[in-house]
Amino acid sequence: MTTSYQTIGQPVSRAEGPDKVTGAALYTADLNLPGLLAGKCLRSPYPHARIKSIDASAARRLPGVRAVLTGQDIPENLVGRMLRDFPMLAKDVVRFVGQKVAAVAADDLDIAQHALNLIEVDYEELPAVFDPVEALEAYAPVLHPNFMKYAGRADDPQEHPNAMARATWGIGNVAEGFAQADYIFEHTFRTPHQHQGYIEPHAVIAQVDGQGRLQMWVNCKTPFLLRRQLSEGIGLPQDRIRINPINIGGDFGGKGSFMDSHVAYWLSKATGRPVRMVMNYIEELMAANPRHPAVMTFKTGVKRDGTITARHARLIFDSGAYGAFRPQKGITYGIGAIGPYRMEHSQIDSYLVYTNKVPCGNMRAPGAPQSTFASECQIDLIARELGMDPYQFRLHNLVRDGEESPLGHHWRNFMGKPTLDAAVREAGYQAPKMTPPDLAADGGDWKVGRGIAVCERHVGAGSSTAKISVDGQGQVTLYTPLQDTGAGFYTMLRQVVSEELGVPYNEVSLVPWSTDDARFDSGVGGSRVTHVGGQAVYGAARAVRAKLAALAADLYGWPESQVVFKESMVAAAGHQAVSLGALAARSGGLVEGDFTYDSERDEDLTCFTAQVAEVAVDRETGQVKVLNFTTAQDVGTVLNPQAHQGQIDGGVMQGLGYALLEELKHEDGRISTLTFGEYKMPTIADIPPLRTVLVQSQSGGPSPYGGKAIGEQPISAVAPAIANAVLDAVGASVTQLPITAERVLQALRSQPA
Amino acid sequence: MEAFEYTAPKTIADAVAALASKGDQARALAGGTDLLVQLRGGRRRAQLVVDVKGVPELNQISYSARTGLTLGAAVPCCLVYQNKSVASAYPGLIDPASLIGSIQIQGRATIGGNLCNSAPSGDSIPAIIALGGVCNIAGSGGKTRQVPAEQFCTGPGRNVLQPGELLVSIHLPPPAANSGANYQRFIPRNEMDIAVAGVGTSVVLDSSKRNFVSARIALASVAPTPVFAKKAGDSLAGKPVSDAAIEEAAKLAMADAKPIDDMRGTIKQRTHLVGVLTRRTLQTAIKRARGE
Ligand SMILES: Cc1cc2nc3c(=O)[nH]c(=O)nc-3n(C[C@H](O)[C@H](O)[C@H](O)COP(=O)(O)OP(=O)(O)OC[C@H]3O[C@@H](n4cnc5c(N)ncnc54)[C@H](O)[C@@H]3O)c2cc1C
Repeated sequence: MTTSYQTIGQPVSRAEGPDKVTGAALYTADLNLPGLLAGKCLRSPYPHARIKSIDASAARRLPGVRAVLTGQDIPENLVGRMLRDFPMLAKDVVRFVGQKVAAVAADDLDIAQHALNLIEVDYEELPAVFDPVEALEAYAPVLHPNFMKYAGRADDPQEHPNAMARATWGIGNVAEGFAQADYIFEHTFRTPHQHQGYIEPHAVIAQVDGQGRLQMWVNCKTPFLLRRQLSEGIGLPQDRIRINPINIGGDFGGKGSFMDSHVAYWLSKATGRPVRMVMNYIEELMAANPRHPAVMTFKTGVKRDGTITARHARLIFDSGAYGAFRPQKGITYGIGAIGPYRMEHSQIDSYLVYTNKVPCGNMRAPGAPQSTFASECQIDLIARELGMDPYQFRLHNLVRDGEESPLGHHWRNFMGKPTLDAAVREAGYQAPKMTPPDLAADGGDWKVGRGIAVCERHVGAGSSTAKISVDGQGQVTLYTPLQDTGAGFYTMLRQVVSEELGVPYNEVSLVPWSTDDARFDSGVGGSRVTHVGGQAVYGAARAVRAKLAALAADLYGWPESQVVFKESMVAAAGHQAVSLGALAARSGGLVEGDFTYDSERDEDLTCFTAQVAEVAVDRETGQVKVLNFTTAQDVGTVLNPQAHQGQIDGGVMQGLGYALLEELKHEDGRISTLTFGEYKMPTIADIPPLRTVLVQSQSGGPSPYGGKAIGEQPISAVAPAIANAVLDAVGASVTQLPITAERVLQALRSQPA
Repeated sequence: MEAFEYTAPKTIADAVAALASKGDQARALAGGTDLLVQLRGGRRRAQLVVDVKGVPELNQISYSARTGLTLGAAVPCCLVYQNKSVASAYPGLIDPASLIGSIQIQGRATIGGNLCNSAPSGDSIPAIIALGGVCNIAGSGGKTRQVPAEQFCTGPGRNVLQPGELLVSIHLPPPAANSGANYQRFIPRNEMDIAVAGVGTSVVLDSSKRNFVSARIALASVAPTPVFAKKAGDSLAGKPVSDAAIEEAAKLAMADAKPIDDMRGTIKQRTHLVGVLTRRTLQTAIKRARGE
């Protein structure tokens, strides 16, 4: 695509970067308010227990302790992002190890910690259930007897008291499709909890100000939604709550939950002083909001020639003890589970289930890495059974542009085949496989293999607002309700302003708004910001531009349509240019423009990803080393190639961790991997050379200048590509993530000789 | 982290006196890559931290082909592998010194600290046992004693040091003619990880380089302490170098492994890995002994 843009499409570096690397950028834990207290919570040591009594008297007597709160001391309101099932502090029952039972505010953290040790809680253990499949059995303990009374619950009837939500999607009639098949395959796959692994843990400061208003600083990327959730929990009207802007130290989907916000308010209210609560990383790994584990059974019917006749997926997502960290009313997880394959009969049954484990929330492409792992691994297992190359099998079944998707959508300009072909070409998928010399020399029994996986994902939608002002000095200021999660969009938004007003992007000043300053904003996430935030800023920039052009027409008699904005000057052909500042000064004040953008998701537009992993597997130890990884991505206009590539590389790395290493391990409901020594994220030494091919779609997407989305797209197909490469290398089919050496060995041992 | 007092003595006598003054509430500090993490995480308590990096004997690194190596307990790993004569005489010691943690960690972490931390997974400990290392310990009143490395650790995080005692140095005998050693571990990641299992071996071959004279094998992460698999090593003595002999030693090493199931690995996987790593380290040690 040829463009005539100035800044759009340039790999400009981050305007907000210098402040971050010099430490000038402020995060919640950096703020110091006069009289600030430290807040900390006592957490349940049991996965399921009745609280018989709590004795906090010794803690209350400890010098330096300013407040001790239990469930008795605050209203019983249940809170949640949509489903309100979570008590702010447990009162009668605890349902997971790590649930908050009491809270302390003290002069410092050591005193708070000491006070927690003095609180005595008498528990009576209750039968617990940890496996989401067992949770749906008749004998399973019912975890939420009052579920039907909860606000915000899904409308469809509950099949089992532990199933908090259920959805079915599909077309045709799968029974009919299976009747047409020559072969029917059924496999079950399992995936674990994945923690987002952001650097900054959850942190919040609450202060009830002199007017009785709640002032809050919190690393939450959806402040407008949080304001509502706070209001529901603490009983203050929304306009009595102000969430102030603050930097967020990494998100990956995990920073949209309220976490300690309500408790921090109650502590501040009880003490009359500001209270800061920062989770430590043990608490993060024990009780934040990780990605849902899943158990997924796929049944697929195929003809002898490889044509898929029907696919049925039964997906059970393990929500843990509460559903409060999910923003949707119904269940959306697994909606892409069937894969981008042509078929007349498809059905997905997706369940969200309560267990006595950590409540789960959103992480990058929520629901998709789980179901894509299952779906794309089964594709390879079927192809191999049929004696077909997995690439050919995919080509044979892939939806072509103009055809219907397996959920009945009509994707415009669907880029499946060109993107898959590009990945295969770039990766050298069909080239001979050779063990690298350094591995060949180390004594291992290494075999090399390659695997493909594909996925598609929508561009997100929602609402955002922006305002832009230009002053008499030519200073351009952008106001946005979006909080910086570190993904780079503060630079991208400045580029949009720069493009429209002809000023250097890094001279655009950016002022984040509080919740007082705008009506609403959907917040960051869901592959939304470049589209929604981008369009809001684009609209505001166009509005300012139009005002300035009208002003120039008025003042100088220039034809309004011929006014151009370039290099901080405003000009029209054949006339003496004026500086942006000089023109704005003539307005007698600031020239301002604002714009609110609202959108619904376009189901007929998607972004396609094809990935190829090359791995070596040591047949003696089962160890897997990823040698090369290639991503082909269907894109529209790329607004900032450097930021775009960062999302691809980061998504691949996070997918690689999910594939091979990351797992919150449980023993009887207790997470045992409570440090980054035991919860193993990849280090840079685990990252192979990454290759990317961008495949330009003609239609582009809904973002300004025709951009699509990239934040969530690159993660989901990584694990199945690696699993399929392991299968190709040594014939071991690992159906459970992560693909540990031990699981590879088990699969090798269970192979027919 | 709770507050503690800090002292940095310049002599063994002062260091020992400081340690003795607080009994089990005093901890020696070398690189601090274990101690500071443990103090911050509340897994260890100390009223007094005695920084031993200023004591000359603990910074000694002296090698001669006649007397062997004396390695001060406060010498960081990077100075071990950057020392050319040590690196060429003891490749089996360089293996763990260059894989503990990362470059940054190796700039601080010491072999002495690795021993005194006495983790079952300590990577240098099997290597030192295989190389026949001896620990030189100083106590109060100028008392000293020597403890063979295989007797040093007594439990997870526990060792023979009494309150008030200090590890001064580790001594390795000079490498015998036609000898070689190797340490390997299995970790899920490519670096910065804790051994699921580790094996250190050393072999001495005869002048034909076709027969074992003797061998020593030690294991990491498969018992409450590092394990000296004496029978496995002894089984090779006098035998011709062969796959069958190596396989037999690997079987005996597996029999000496008493691992547990935990989040890092299962009994089955760890025992299996001991077999694989015993074979692989013996093969590398033999190559080194043959100068290949
Ligand atoms: C990121 C990271 C990665 C790591 N990776 C590895 C790894 O791959 N393999 C591995 O084995 N370990 C690893 N470790 C653990 C640690 O680095 C090693 O055990 C290291 O060798 C400890 O040495 P140190 O000098 O830092 O010991 P310190 O922390 O200073 O001391 C350790 C213990 O020994 C005691 N001590 C130290 N010196 C003496 C002495 N002279 N006399 C008596 N007692 C003494 C201390 O009181 C303390 O209890 C890692 C640690 C970190 C933080």
